[in-house]
Parts: sequence; structure tokens; C-alpha cells
Amino acid sequence: MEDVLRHGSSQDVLRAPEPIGQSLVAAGLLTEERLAEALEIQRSTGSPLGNIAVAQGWLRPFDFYRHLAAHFGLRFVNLVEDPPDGDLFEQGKYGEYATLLYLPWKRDADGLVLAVTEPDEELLRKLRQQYGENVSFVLTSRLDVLWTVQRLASRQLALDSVFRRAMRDPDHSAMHVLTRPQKVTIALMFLAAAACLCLDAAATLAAGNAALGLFLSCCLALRILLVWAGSGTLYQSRTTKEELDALDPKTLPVYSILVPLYRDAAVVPTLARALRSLDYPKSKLDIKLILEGDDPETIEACKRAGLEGCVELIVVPPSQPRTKPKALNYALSFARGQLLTIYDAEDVPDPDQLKRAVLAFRKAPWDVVCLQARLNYFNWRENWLTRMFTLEYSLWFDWYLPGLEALGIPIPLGGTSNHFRAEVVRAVGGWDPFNVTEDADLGIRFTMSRWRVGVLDSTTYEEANSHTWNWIRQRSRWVKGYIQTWLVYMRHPLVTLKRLGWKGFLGLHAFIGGAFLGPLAFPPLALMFLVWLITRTKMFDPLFSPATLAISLGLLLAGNGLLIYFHMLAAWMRRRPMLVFCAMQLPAYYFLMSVAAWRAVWQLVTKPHYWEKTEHGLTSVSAYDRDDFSPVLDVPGQ
Amino acid sequence: MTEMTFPRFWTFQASSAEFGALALAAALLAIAARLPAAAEFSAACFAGNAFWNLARTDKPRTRLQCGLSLPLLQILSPGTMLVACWLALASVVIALRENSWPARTASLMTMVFPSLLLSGCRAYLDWLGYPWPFRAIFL
Repeated sequence: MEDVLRHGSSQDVLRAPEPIGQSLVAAGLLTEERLAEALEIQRSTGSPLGNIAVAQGWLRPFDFYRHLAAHFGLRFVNLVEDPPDGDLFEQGKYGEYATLLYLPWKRDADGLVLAVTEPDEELLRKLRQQYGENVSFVLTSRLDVLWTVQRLASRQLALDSVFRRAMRDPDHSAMHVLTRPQKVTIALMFLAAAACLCLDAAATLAAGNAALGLFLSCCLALRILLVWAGSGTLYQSRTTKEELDALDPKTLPVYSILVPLYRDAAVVPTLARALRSLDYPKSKLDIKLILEGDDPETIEACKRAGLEGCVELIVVPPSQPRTKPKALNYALSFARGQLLTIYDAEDVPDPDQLKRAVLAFRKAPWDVVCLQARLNYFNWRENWLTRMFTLEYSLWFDWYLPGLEALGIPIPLGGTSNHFRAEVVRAVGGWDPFNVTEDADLGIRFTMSRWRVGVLDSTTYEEANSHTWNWIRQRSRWVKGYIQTWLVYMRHPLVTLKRLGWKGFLGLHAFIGGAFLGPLAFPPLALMFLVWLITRTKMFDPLFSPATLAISLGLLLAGNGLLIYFHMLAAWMRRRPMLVFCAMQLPAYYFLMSVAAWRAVWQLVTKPHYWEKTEHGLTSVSAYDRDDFSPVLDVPGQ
Repeated sequence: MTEMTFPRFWTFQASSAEFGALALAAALLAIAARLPAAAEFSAACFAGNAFWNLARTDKPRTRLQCGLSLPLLQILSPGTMLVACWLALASVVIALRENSWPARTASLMTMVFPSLLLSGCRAYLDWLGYPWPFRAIFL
């Protein structure tokens, strides 16, 4: 190590007289007990001792780096007090600075001086190759590098986080809701429909009704297939407890966790507890809390939470569009992990989720680039809405998504607990900041790029919306995002068909299309049925040919009945018997979904990129005060 | 666990669990081919396999299979109704193994709801005056 530091450098580098651990103890920065504990962790994980002590929160990062510099006889610089020369900072390289944790600091008489955070042999050699043999090194702290990169590259970072995706693949960006050909097509369709209505209104409405019935039947058929395929043991369990126990911590990769926060000060303590509960070596965690520059309450709450050294704050400067994917893109440049996941502010993941993801990735073929953990709610008992929401999520994540995986249909990711191979997220340009369901878009984009998405047998518990208006706001954002996503991939339907294949293409229509067309169609169909049931009017007879009537009756009776049944099964397999009975009330929940869907359509026209913030921390239930904390799907390995 | 965790295509293994899928496919094919005896036999196998597996372990597929098997037997013929009755009894016995009455009732619902749904649909269609579509399945 010392040779590398000396080679080609004019500065004197002292050989470290003793191991860093002893040196830290001698300096009074670490106790003997902590050192013994850190050495024990080092033996099992193979992480550097300093990283362990900092990550565990036993040592302030600033103290450690200052001591490390003294230990190796290097100069320590505080980049806040002694900032780098801005001319040396290359805007295009901010990602490299942030992930390799170095910065060009100054140019002195002997040449370029680079500020590094660790005198790592491999890094120093790489930097010498890049900048020439004449460079010398000073030491700084990791946080200094991150803050300086954010300060000096803020404009470029902001631009990239908004436009990188659209510049790389404008055809699949939701920056424009409709392309010109789409506008023309929709206009022509409206004109044709208006003309048909003028010519023969009854026949046109009957044809429309039949087409809607057929489409909804296809959606129902797909859901039956999904439930059947997704219920297979193969898709319900990926990892066993024995495999988890046998996992060697030394072989675990660095795991980046991105947590976007906005007006979430109230849930920061829950988040801190959830992150601390993760069963993963802290020295191999790279946690980024992504904060908005104009949200001082949350920034303050994070600072007060006393988070360990493995947690870093990334502050995104305020800009439009103010969306979660933009914040994620911003933070992606700073992520150092080979694997990466996203958690929401109120998330409580299963403690072993990261290890399960590592195992599942290891066993998966190379083209599986993302694993979606199951999502569920911890406050399901709170009120009627949370019970319905939990039923819906149980079916969606425990049955539908494994079914999509089994059938090879694109999986629209959930907004949280997606585990990625980080390099692939970078390769596809990150998230689409203009799409308000960037997660669903990314899942389909992976499949379009011939990569695959799987489902992970681990659960993240979230807070279900317990307030109706808050729920409608959240749901209308989701529906708006589904419509955006569908429109994006229908810009070039033949390209989408070619890349997804027939199965994926039809599945995309029936699953994503059904997710917004079903709720949109529900109010008129339900109203028609109720009017007919009460008055027995003959008014609707022209709309229903015998075949349409059979389809409609099938959907009304068997369709709704089967959906209720599937929700019952999902509730039962989560071991929540009371929810089984609640499934009977789903039609009332569909009504709420319809309200949200129609609001989404209105918003798509008026405010397409507006991100309706879901308020968290409204529940009176604590995430840790529940009797069903552990995963409860009764499948092998759980 | 092997690479089969992420199969690219549907892989078929005739293990006990997948026997149910085979039996269901056989029953549906026999119905389509208008072979009553084969359909009844396959449906009975499907149902028997479902309840046998559920009696041993409660897995998502097994419970789903149980729920679907009763209405399948109901729509076929009076002959299979007897099997359906026996299996309905079996579902009560399986449900009774739960440790509370809400759980027992919920468990029973997940096994017999499709059967109740079928009966409800039939009653509704009768009330409307429409013919029952499964009445003439083998006529």
C-alpha cells in the first residue's frame, strides 16, 4: 500500500506503524471491546475494519478519515473548508467521482493532487493510469466527496436525472403523453365513432358493448390463468432457510438501498428502525436517503435520527418534474452497490430480504435482472379501506405477479422493494421521470430489452392508505401511470410485439389495459345493471345481442364471483381469516377504484406529469405492533 | 433448488402436484370431446388429488384446486354429484382442523365458495328465466 502511495509522488508517506484498529484504540476513538467486536465482524464479512466501525456508528466518519490520513502519513483535507479547484472538476465524470469516491483537488507545483477517501491499492493504481504518474494524493472523508460532487455537479445531475432517459430513448419516454401519430389515430377513432353513431347509434353502441365485453373477458381469462400459474410451488418459494443459513457473509456484495423521502418526517423513526433491522453486514450496505432540497423538516428528522455511517443523505435540488423517479435517477449516480433496491419511507421489509435477493440472483440465470419482493400492509385491521387494499395487494403480489413470471408476461413492478442488478438499471438509463408509475414502465422496459423480472419470496410491509381521499389520490396516480405506460408502448406496437412476443404483447394489453379499462367501465356497466334490475326496462335490449348478453352475464356472475374467490384465497394464504369474509365487499371497493380511474383520465389531460404525493404516517397502527410480522405464505422454505 | 426456479418455458413434471393440472386438462378435453365417462373420471381424479394434497399440506395451488374441483364435479352429471358430496364433507373435516371458528369458517369458504357461486348463478339465471348453460353439457 505504502509503495503505491509513494510511487511517482513527491510527498513523503510514512509506513503505518501498527494496525489501524490498535491505532484507533490508542487515539481513544474506539474502545477495546468495540475493536474486538469489529474484528469479529471483519473475520466473518471480510470488510475493512474502518468501514465496519463507521457503518456500525461506533466512529464518526470525519474522525475516522482524519485518523486514517494521520495513520498513513497523508494530509487530510476538509473539502468544505478547503474546497477543490472547480476547474479541475469534469462535469461528465461526476458518477465516477461519486462511486469511486475521489476528486481532483488542486494542482500544485508537482502536479495534480487527488483527494481520495481510502488509500486503496487498486484505486490508486487506476487513478495513476488515468491521470498520469505525476499525481499525488491527500485523504478526505466520504461525505466530503459526496457533498462536493453534489455541489459542483448539481446542474448536470439535475439535467441528467430529468432528461437522460428521454435523450437515450425518446420513443419510450413519457415526456410527451401522445406522439403526433397517436394524436392522429385517436382523432380518427373519435371521428369514426361519431360517424357510426350518427349513422346507426344502436348498432354502434351494441358493437362497442360487445367489444368491451370481449376485452374484459380476455382480462378475466388472463387473471384465471395467472392465479393458476402463480400458485405453483416453483413460483412461491425461491430460497430456503438452510440456504440462507449457509450464506457466507464474505461473499455478500455491497447492496445499495435508495429511499426517496418527501414530507416524510413523521415516518423517519420507523424507517430508521426498519433499516437497522436488516440482516445484512452494515459495512456492505450503502443506504441513500434521497431528500428534497425544499423539505427542511424531513432533512432535519433524518439528521436527528442518529443513523449509522452506512446511511448517506442525498439532497435533490428542487426542480420539475417533482417525481420519485427523478429523485431515484439523481441518487443512482451515487450508488456504489452491485445490487440495488428501493424502499419507501414507511416500508418495513423482512429482515432477511436482502440475503434472499442475493441468493435468488445467484441461482437465477444471467438475464434475470430484477426481483420484485411481495408487498403487503401492516395496518390491514385499521378500517374497511385498509382491509380492501390489503386484499387487493395480497392477490396482486402473491398470485398475479408470480403468474406473470410463470407465463413470461412483462411484470409491472411495484413502487418499492424491487431488487436490481445496478449495472442494468444504469444501462437502461434509469427510471422515466415523466412517468408517474416509473416502476411499471421499468418492468416492461426490462422485458422489452430481453431481460427478465422475477418475484422474490420475501415481503415488505407498508402502510395502507387509511383515508379515502388520500387513497383516491394515490390510486389515480397509479391509473394515470398505467395509461401513460400503455400509451408509451403503443407508440410503435409492432416493435413492442416483436420484442415482447405474442404472449407478452397480449398479456400487456390484458393486464395493464385491464387495470385501467376495467375500473373505467365499471360505473356505466353497474349503473345499467342496477337500472335494469330495479325497473326491468327494455331500454338496454338493443345493446345486448344474445352473444353479448351471455358474455355480460358471465362477467357479472362468474367474473366477479371468481375475482372475489381469488381474493379470498389470497387472504387465506396470508393467514388472515377475517379478510376472507371481507372479500365479499369488493364490488364497493371497485366503485372507489372507478372514481380514481376517472380522476386519473382527467389528470392525464390536465396535469400528466403531476405526482400526487401520498401522505404517510397517517395510521395509528405501529408497524411493529402486529402479530403477523413474519412471512406467512405456507410454502416450503418460509 | 436448481435453475428451474426461473424456467424460460413451461416445464411439465408429472409429480403429485402437477398431476392435478394433467387431470384438469384431461377433464376439459374430455368435455370438449363429449366423452362423459372420461370427463367424470378425470374430474374425480382432479378433485381427489386436490383434497388428498390439501389434507397433507396447505399450499396455494392445492387450495385453489379444491375450490375448483367441487363446481367441476357439480356441472358434469348426477353421478359425480355423489363424489362432490363426499368431498364437501372432506372440506368440512379439513376446515375443522383450524384452531378457531372464524378460521374454520374462512377455510371452508375458500374450499366451497366456487360451488356456492355456481349454485347462486344457477338460481339467478332460473329467476331471470334464462337456461342453465351447463344443463346439456353431455346432451
